[in-house]
Amino acid sequence: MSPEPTRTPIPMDLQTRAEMAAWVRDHWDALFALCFRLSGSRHEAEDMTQEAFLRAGQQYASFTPGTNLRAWLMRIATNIFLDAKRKRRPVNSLDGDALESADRDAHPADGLTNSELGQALSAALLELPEIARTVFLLRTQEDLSFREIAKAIDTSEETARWHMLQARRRLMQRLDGWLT
Amino acid sequence: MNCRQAQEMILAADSAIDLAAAPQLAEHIQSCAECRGVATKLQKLERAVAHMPAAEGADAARHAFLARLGGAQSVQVAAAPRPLRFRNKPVIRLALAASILLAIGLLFILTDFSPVQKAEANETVVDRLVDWNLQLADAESDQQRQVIFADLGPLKSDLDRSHLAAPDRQLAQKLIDSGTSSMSHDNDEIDQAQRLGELADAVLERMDGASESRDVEALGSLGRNFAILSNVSVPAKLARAKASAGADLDRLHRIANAFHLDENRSQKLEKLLDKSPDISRNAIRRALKWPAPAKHHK
Repeated sequence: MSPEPTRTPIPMDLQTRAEMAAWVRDHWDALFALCFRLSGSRHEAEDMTQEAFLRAGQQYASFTPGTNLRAWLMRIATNIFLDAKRKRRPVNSLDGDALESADRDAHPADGLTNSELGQALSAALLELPEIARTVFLLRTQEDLSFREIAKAIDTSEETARWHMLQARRRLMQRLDGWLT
Repeated sequence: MNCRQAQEMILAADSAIDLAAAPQLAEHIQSCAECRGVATKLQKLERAVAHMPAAEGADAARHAFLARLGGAQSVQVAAAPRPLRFRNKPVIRLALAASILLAIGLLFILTDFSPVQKAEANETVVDRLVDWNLQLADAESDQQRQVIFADLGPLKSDLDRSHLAAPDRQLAQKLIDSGTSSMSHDNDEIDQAQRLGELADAVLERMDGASESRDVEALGSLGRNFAILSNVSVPAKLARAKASAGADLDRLHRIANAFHLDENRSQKLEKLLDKSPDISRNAIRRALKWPAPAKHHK
């Protein structure tokens, strides 16, 4: 990646650009954090976040004013992530996803620091199946309701809750030594 | 309830933090150390996830995206009408606000369908200077502001090369002066709102001249610039300022003044519409997507 940001301008009318700048100011960090936790890659997180805002600008007519803008943006980002994953691998290999970058051998040690727990958490999250990871992060980091999460991943509330249960179960097993 | 059932309920709970929502579960947890341990671990896990440190690189990525967003080298007017959705934040008006201000709150912007190509550098330069000022006002850090300010060089070059009429050149210079002066002051949201409001006044003044000369094309571009300054950016900044003002009387007084200036601007716009020839009035209304009144003005 070049040291200077690419300055390829985004063709956009003035009104949309001003609104987009406001959305970026209010929601960029949260969206970037989600995309980073989902993908495990800062480079992918940047691409996904940019794509999410661009799509939001194109699809704004479909947004209902007064409803949760952040949840809507999260839904777009989630779709980008899940669509990209579906294209990269066969559909039936969603379980036991390969880690992109994680320490499989992470183990608890005496004198555990927040940083070490954070690293173990990041690794454990990437081990989750993508949909379970998505549900868990949307619920835990963004505090979306299961109804909103279900809309984001295009499923039922019941299924979203099931994915949450699976995520919790796996993370509790994986991180048992870190949580005592 | 046995431990297996309790632990399944813990993992299936809506909130790991508030397990007391299920009284039977809460009672079991209170009396069972093992299940209490499971609940505590889950709470610790989810708190840790919720408080994971911010992802590194977010700031730089945001800045890069905003730079692309602010790159005004290729401003294009959208080819299809798009409704302007105002941000999901309430704009609080003083009791003295006229009904005209309610109409402003319901405005939508139409882009101009003029078949005439708008490739002239003079309009593009003014549009870009408005955009540049908006970006400066929205910059989140001095560093970002400096990067955006650096766009002034190319903008000035384009202005020098353009064939702007004198009134447009004066407007362009006002836009440059305003953006430049904002760099030497600490601007809060209220200062920014006032500065953008002054720019909206300058645009409105230019619209007056364009209206007299029936310059429909110019009115389309100027109208859009006015709308974005006066109807989107100024109210949004004042709403944010009001939300954070608390009981700061001095701040509230400044906000009230800014709203008052905003009302005056709306009245000036209404007067301009009243005195404009039909063709000019229609062009302004199209640009602002102002609902036409039931009766004719003239």
